[in-house]
Amino acid sequence: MARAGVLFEVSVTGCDAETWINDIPVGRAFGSVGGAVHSCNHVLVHGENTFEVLVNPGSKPSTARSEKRTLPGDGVAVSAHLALCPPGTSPGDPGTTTLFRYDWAAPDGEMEFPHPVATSCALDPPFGPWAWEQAAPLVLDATLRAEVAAYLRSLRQSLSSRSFPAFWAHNEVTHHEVAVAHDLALADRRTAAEGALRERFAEPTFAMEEVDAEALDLRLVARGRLVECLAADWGAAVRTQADGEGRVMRFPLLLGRVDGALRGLR
Amino acid sequence: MGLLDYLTTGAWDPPPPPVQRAHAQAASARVQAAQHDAQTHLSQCPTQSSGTLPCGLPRQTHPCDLKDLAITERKTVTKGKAPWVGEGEPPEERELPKTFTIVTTGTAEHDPYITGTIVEVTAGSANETVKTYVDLAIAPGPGFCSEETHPHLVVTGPDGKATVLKGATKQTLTVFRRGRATDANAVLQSFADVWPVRLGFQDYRVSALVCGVRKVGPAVRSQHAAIRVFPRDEWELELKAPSLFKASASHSTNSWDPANRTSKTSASVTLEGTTNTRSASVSRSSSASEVSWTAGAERHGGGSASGVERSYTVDRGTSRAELSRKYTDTSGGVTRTREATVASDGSRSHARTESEAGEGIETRFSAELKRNGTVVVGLEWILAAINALRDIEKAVQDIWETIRKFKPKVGWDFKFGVEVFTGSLEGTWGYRESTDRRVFFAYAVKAKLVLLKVSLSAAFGVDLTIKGYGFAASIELKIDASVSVITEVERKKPEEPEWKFGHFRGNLPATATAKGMCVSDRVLSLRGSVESGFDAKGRLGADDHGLGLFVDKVEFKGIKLKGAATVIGLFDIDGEYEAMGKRVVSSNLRVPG
Repeated sequence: MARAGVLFEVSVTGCDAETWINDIPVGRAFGSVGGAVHSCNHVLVHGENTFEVLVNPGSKPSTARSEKRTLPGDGVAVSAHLALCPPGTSPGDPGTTTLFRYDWAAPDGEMEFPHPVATSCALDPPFGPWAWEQAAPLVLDATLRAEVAAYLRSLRQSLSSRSFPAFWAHNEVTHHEVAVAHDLALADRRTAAEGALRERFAEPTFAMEEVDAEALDLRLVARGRLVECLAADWGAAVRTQADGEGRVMRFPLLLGRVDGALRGLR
Repeated sequence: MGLLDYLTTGAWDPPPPPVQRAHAQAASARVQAAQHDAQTHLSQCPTQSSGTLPCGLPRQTHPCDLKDLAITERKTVTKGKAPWVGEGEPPEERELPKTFTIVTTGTAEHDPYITGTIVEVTAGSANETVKTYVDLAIAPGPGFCSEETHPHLVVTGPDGKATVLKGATKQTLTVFRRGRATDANAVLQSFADVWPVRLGFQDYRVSALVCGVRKVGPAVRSQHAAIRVFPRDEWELELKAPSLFKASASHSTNSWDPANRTSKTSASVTLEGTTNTRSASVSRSSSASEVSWTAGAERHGGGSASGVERSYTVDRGTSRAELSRKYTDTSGGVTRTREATVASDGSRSHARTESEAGEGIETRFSAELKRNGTVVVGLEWILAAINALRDIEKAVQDIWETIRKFKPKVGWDFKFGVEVFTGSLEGTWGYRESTDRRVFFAYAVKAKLVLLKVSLSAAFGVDLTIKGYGFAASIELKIDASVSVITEVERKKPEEPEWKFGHFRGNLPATATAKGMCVSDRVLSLRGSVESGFDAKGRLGADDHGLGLFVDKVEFKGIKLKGAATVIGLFDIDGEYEAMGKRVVSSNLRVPG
């Protein structure tokens, strides 16, 4: 049975937010649905961990922190709850262990956004350290951009050719570490993933979108050790074309440099 | 000489000689001259072409003509007893007696429906004490002829029978408008029986006939009019509902982990009307004319109900006091009522009624229908119609059950309450006599009710399977809203549209949050709003079938999520997830008619 997970529940009112754990984005929370629950195990580190809710981020990933705007703060509020949760529970449920809670409310009147609401918590998880913690710092220059684009095209090609092993290999470190983080058997994770993808490969409408280097909206995260490969619409850069129901499958990827080469690390 | 003589004898009268023909021509000329002379001194109806008048009398040579036909309406009671429930003053009506003067230049061929000589009145049926009289008065033009039979007054009733009244210039008719619902033994089976529009009118045709001879000016040989009679009943309906159905329930569990059922459930359900309930009320009113108070108590339970109501009224003008007691007892679907009244002047009255309600009819629901101020019994059809509202309750209950069934999957927390048709609906209707010669159908309907009130607080999980991966979403759904119908519609003038409606549309939005769930490496994150809630629309007003509240549709919008399912490090896929489909709660419902 999978181990208990550390879940970060973020409730937002009057705003949208992006959640970062240890400077790694783990998801967004929308005021229209009230918030989100994020799984944290795979990004936790030993010692101090930072949990940040970036309130009203910029319009695209690369400008999430830098795109300044002045907006009314009235009614804007964030409530965060970190808890150790047995499988199938959410923070606040019986059987869960609260690690911290905090609330923040914007002052009335106009204020500048994005506004980070952060706290830290010392943890000693039974896993890690992760490969990305030891990855080399990156500089997001033209060389790295070209290198990332090539990596993404390779990933896209593996999917376009319907090669699951090639796809798996592009992010193998992540698969291994996520299995460890959630106490899953790697073989089971691989079998499930292969089944899901082969089902998708078999669909007549299956086709991959091209990777457009110019459309990439890359950003450095994990304190400069990872580059997140997104498009300006906040979705992963590698993605399928919409199927008959309009659904798009995306393949998120955070690349880091290990032993001089880019590798999928989350 | 006949034709037989002509054929058998071969003899016949010879043709007149020229002299005889000349005499005949001279005689004809004299007649024409005489007629011309008469025309220069007398004016006879130009239609007469024979030797007699249409009435059979010989052609007159002295004046006999009509001037006006006066129609005067009288009633033994001038007003109905139904208070106007609409805004402000009731419709303006004609003061009685009222005289309508018909001045026409007509012939027998003139159709009163075309010439506009229709006088519209209201009247009751023949067995009622309230009568409507129509006085007919014929004003002579230059005078009437010496024959006693003129003028002729012909009245053709709704049954087609013509009555000829000869020689008098004044006659009085008693007109009736028979209607099914006004018959003493009529059994009311539907709203149509109390909706006089379906009965329509009856005509009494009136014709006044004379020679049509006058010295100067065109003669008026006849005048025609129609007395169009509409039912005079004034109806009054009052429906009051504390609540057809009121239920609340709350449940909660503390975990949705199938392997860790440490949850506890608490539930409470209250169903008013099926459990014992007691209520009491007291009211007091005071006006310049009287002081009154009413106190009542009711008990419901075990399929039976009983109540007592006491009222006390003092007329300030006469100092007459009246104490009434009314006992009601309902059991086995039969409601028995005893009423007793004692007055300070010693007068007493009492009455007993017994009515049987249909199976399952909400006994607490109050429906009172009055015709001309008198309570009409036998309203099972109204109660049955209102009982149909329970379909709404049942449908909402079904939705509740469906949401509750999410429980075995991922746990739940649930509070639910629904109320259907709480409040009052009042209406008054009937034909009213306009200040002119028209009668029009007037009505007012006023509603102060909550059609549907839902208070729902639910937290539940839904399982979603995407490409072989199972996901779960936690949805917190809150609805605390109602569709209220607080409006009134009335028709007070004949110029207004015959049928009017006030439309209402209610939206019971759900405040829904769905935070998604994380199960090991699987995350369901929601994007965009959760769509849910109830939507209702309808009308309040009247049409040719009845009056009341017409519910076009009540719909549950379902529960739809927009989100993305993520397997960490592998993929995410977005889409819409319909946790629960749309449902029509009710459609095309008419209350009460």
